[in-house]
Parts: sequence; structure tokens; C-alpha cells
Amino acid sequence: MITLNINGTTHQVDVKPLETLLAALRDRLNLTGTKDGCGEGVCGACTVLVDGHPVSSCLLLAAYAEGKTITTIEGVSGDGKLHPLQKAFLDNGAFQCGYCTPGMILMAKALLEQNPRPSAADIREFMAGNICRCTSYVEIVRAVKQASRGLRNAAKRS
Amino acid sequence: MVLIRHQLFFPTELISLKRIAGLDRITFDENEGLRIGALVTHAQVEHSPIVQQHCPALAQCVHHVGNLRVRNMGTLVGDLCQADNHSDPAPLLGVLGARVRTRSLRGERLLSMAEFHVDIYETGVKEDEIVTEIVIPPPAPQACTAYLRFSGNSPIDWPILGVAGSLVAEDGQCKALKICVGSLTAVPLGFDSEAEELKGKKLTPGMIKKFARACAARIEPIDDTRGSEWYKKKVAEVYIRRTVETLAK
Repeated sequence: MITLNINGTTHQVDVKPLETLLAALRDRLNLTGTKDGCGEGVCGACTVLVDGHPVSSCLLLAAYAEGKTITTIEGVSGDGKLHPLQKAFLDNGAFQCGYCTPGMILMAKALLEQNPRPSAADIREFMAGNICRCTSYVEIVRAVKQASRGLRNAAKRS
Repeated sequence: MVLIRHQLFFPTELISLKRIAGLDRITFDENEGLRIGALVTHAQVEHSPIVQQHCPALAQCVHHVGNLRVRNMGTLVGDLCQADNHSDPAPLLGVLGARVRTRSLRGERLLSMAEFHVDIYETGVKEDEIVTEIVIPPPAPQACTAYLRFSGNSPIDWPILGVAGSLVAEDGQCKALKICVGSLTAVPLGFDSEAEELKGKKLTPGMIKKFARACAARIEPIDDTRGSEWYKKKVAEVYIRRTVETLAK
């Protein structure tokens, strides 16, 4: 039995020693927003934030995440409102099938927390490890830029 | 973890090293050089001011490992211990003269990279040992180091090949050259005998070309989805030449 802090909530989870965080999230906690893609850390569909850093949950043992702060796509929006990144992805049509989108949003969230004003090149470099196979990266870059503007404007107002 | 996911490795017991004090450190001292603990991630190596000051080529090299998520989770020691022959840091650590420190109830051992790399997915670490750190000796004064890689599909893919080089030159004359090529063969391949021929000579474009050709002739690359043996030999010749040219500049 391990304790996982996910999206601000503490969960007691009974996991096997070799169980990945991805399996624990999807199969034990029913947090299916995190997607199972390549299973070897390449595609980025399973991206979650651990202590604010993006990692591949398919390669991380659930036990390793004990005592750390985990953010999944389910924890990105708040107060019933979409996160500016989620809204920007909708506004720009930055997905078709949507399978890569949770990972893209979390990766972009980590980027904007480190660099609130990224250039298109910064976005492409940071998100190079997240693969989309049906829409275009142009819309994704555009969405991240829109969200960065929105977050900066919101920060100015507050 | 990748080996477990690929069902190539079935551990019956799994012991975490996370709580062993000191394994997460990067230190430097004039005698032993740079020491990178077993729990230090690629991202920590890349952004460490100590590594950037004493071994900038390594900080740049680990930036090419996988993607940001992998670099946030994976460790440099883990990269070596997995012993996948497409490792980016492995050939660079070869030219840097790095050694791997192991520990067991029997005591400590320091393995050279030649002793460490045995085969694909096979190292010289014994069953009762753990790797505690990588030790990189202080570089010779005026030594230049470079790592060039080539990946065919995308920049975040495993390399088709990686060439690491280290050169000490004086007045344009080669005093010491080390070249190590990774990814093409089961373990990184060094070219000390070919480099010995250049010692004391001026590194002219013709000389460098001849050296690269001689090195490539000795490589017997593994034929796989990243290219045929013939193709990889051609690419190796070009990249060895470019690496020495970069060092000689």
C-alpha cells in the first residue's frame, strides 16, 4: 500500500512492486485522462507532472512517486473553468483525435511555468518529445503562444 | 525500466537506492575530478554549474538523451548500466577516461569503460555490486572535447552513431588524440592505434581524411533498421572526419 498525492488529493493505493504510475492512475484510480501510448517514454501521451517536472508515467514505478506531488490532466482545470491552455487548444483546433492532448497540455504547462514568454522555437524544443500524429504542430504551437499571452495578461490584472 | 517494459528483464527482487545518502551528488576536486552519483538525472547533469564548468561537453551531450521527460527521470549511471549500445554518453565517457565505481560487501572497485562495457545489455558489474558513481578525471590542460551525433529519423531518436573526440594540440601539432564511436558496434569502439599515427604531426585536412578512412575501415557496424553496414561505415567516416576537424579548429 502506498500513498500518492494526486491533484491535491491523497490516495491510498495498493500497487504491485513493478506497477507503473500510469497503470496505477488508469486502472486503480480511474484517472483515464493520462493515456497509454508507446510504453517506452517516446510519445509523451502519458506525461504527468511530478513535483512540477514532466515525466513519462509509463516508465515511472508508482512506488517511486510516493511522497511527491503529482499533477494529471484531471487536475489542470479549476473551479469548473478550463485552464487557459485547454481553452487555447480548443480555440486553435490544436487536436483531432485528442489522444496526445493531455500530454501536450501538461508539457506546455511545465514550459509556461519555467518560461512565461516562450518563442515558437522554445515551444518546439521543449515539446519535441511529444508526438501528435493527426493534427498539425502549427496549431499546437499557436495554442501554447495564445495561452502564454492569456496567462501573462491574467498575471498583470491580478 | 525500458527493459522491464520490453520484457527483456524480469527482476524477482527490486531494491530502491533512493534513500542511500550521497548518491545524488555532483562534486569536483582536483585529484579525482568530476564525480557523478548514481541517482543524478540527465537533467541535473545538463544544468549543473559544476559539470558545465569542468566538463561542458558532457553537459551538452546529455541534452541529446531521449527527451525532456526521460532526462528528468533517467540517470547517467542508469544509462550506462542499461548498456544499450545506442547510448549517447557512453563514447564520450570513453574519451574522457571515465571510470565506474562499484561497491559491494567485498569492497569497492573502479572499472575503466573498457572493463565496464562487455556487450549489449551486459556490463562488468557483478551481481552483488551496485554502481555508486561515475568518476571523470580532470582534463589535461588545453584538451578540447567534442561529441557529434547523427540520428536519421528525428533529433530525439537514438543516434545512428555518435562520435566523441578529445584532442591536445600544440602549435597545430597533435599531442594526444582520442576518438570513440558509439552505437555502431556492441560496445563503444576506440581508435588508439590509428590516433597514435597522428602523434607529433600537423593535423592537415588530408591527414584527417586519411585518419577517418582508416578508422572507418576497422569498424564492423551492426546492420539494423537504422542503416546497413555499408551505409553506417560511410557515415562513420564522415562523422569521424568532422569530429577531428571540429577539435582541430
